[in-house]
Amino acid sequence: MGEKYHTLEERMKILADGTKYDSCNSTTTCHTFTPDGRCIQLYKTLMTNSCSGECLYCPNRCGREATRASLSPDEIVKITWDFYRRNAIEGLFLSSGVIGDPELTTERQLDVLRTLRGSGFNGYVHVRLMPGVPRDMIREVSLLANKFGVNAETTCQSRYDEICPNFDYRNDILRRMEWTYGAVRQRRSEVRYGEGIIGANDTQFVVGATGEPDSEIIDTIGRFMDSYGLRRPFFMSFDPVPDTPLSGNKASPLWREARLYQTSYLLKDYGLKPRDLETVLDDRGFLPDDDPKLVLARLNRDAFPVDVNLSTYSELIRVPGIGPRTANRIVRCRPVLSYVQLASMGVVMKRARPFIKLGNSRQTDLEAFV
Amino acid sequence: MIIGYRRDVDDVLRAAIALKREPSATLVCGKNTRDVKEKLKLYRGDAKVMVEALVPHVPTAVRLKLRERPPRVGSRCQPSLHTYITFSLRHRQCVPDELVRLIASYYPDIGQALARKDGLAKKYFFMHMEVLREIERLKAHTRPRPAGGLMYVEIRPDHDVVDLYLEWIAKRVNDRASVVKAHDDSYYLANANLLGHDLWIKKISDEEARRLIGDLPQDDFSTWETYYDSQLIESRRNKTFAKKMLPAKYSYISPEVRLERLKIEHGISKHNLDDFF
Ligand code: SF4
Repeated sequence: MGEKYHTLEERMKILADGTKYDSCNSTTTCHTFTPDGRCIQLYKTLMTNSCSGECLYCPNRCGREATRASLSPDEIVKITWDFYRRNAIEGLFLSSGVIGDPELTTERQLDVLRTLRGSGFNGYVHVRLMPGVPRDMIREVSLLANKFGVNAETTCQSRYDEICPNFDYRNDILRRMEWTYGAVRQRRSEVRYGEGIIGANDTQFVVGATGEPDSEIIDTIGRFMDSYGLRRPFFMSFDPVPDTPLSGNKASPLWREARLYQTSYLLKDYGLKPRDLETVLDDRGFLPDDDPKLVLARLNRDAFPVDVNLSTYSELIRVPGIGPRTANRIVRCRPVLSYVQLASMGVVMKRARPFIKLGNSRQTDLEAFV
Repeated sequence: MIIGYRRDVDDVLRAAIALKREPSATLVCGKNTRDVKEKLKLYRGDAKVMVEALVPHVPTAVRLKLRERPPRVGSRCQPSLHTYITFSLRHRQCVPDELVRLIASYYPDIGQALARKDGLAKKYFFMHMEVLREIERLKAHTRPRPAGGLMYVEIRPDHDVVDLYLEWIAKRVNDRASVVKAHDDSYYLANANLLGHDLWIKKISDEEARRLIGDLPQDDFSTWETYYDSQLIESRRNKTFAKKMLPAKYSYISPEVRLERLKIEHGISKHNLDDFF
């Protein structure tokens, strides 16, 4: 389907609209918030929303009746600079529909990155790579971008085949994830911290498009963390798009995305393994709509209460209401003499009370709480 | 004894050590050496001394504690005691003598102050956080606008952070000079070296500021507005949460934030004049 004439602002709107479901925040400044409460940190855009792919859930799939538009690399650079100078963004998130083949698309993405960096742009750049992107291009992207990765979308070959018929999970996704991790490691060995861009790899899952249970997603994240050094997975709740083969499916509840994020933090920051979380899941392998850390603590009653002055860091962080930061504070500044001191050190007493004790004193009975 | 000290991390630490040795001493704080000496003159008696005479060297073990950071949490760095004191001192309600007494009460294990075990430690912990948050707020929500080939921005911080903001904006907009107007009608030029000045950051008169930026043009942020509007997912609208994330009190920071806050409050109109015709 050809593109009609649209002004720059109209094209910008169409293409930014196409990325609004993508999660891609850096860990720094939130410049503003949209009325749905999500923060805006980056200028998120597609290069084009024309695509030769036919992914079943995607508004940009080829053949779908939609207004098609594209932005040239120079236009993207200009808009990014303008927003960046105005301090409205921290950088750019660049994705695209597949223009012809993955190589051509990535070449266009690289044009944007080269021009941006060549003009002295120091901001954050996050690039969504195309499935099947060539290895040498991944290497070049790793020299210019702060984060890059191919979307895994789902958990295994068969589910992927169901929703993305044009690409191969093993070759176009998993192998590319291996290469992106290789590029990141190479970069880490070449550049010292603070002396150049050392990017990280990432991936995104569409939650609920193929009926996959959370247990599969959690296992996959654990596997990706071990095999591909994945630091942070992103999740996008499936929302049926009209005029696509999945338009009749039910949207995935938003809380599921939030619980998966919480679970991924347990894997990343708390050092838990997927098997530690098995008890939290229901019979069908889904997470309940409750804080997974709290559920885990309730299910492991024998491990509590922990003595704040005697337990190790890893025991402390398992207590609901005590995060890694507060656990550090406690370990460094023992002895803690009272619950008032604990509260003032940042422990959320309402949640932590039943799970901790100070010497022989316990404030609330765990049995009563559970 | 009357001990004079400057309002900086090093002298606060020395004063804490001195106070530990002389618990009944009176403390006198000043912005710089001259200020301290002026203030000391107002006191009677002979036992007036600058803190460096009493504590010429801070023990290395204590100095190391100052920079020691708790382990990172995720990707976030934790504040060191140095950060804690630096930013507490910048708070508009900071009483340096109180801070000195707090550090002295934990000396020599001064790192304990960071754990905010007592009321005073907690108070200063929150004060330092407030200052840090103010800087973050300025970095997040001020919107410099193009003016006369430069960038122009107005800020009105509650605490003493103008210098930090200037350093930040000079790095952020590194290819242009920026004129910053602080709330007390002082004008600063960041990246002044790009305009041929010797200094990187320079205080300038309001005439010079006006000469540089000319008549301030009406700011046009329609492109940004288009982008902002495109990012809303209507089905996920969450007014309460969004209001919490962008409180109304931030509206003063920039016109864009004011408008965005209004959109959070009232929603984004889907109809414009073009759709009508
Ligand atoms: S390749 Fe990407 S843009 Fe194209 S249809 Fe699939 S998900 Fe959509």
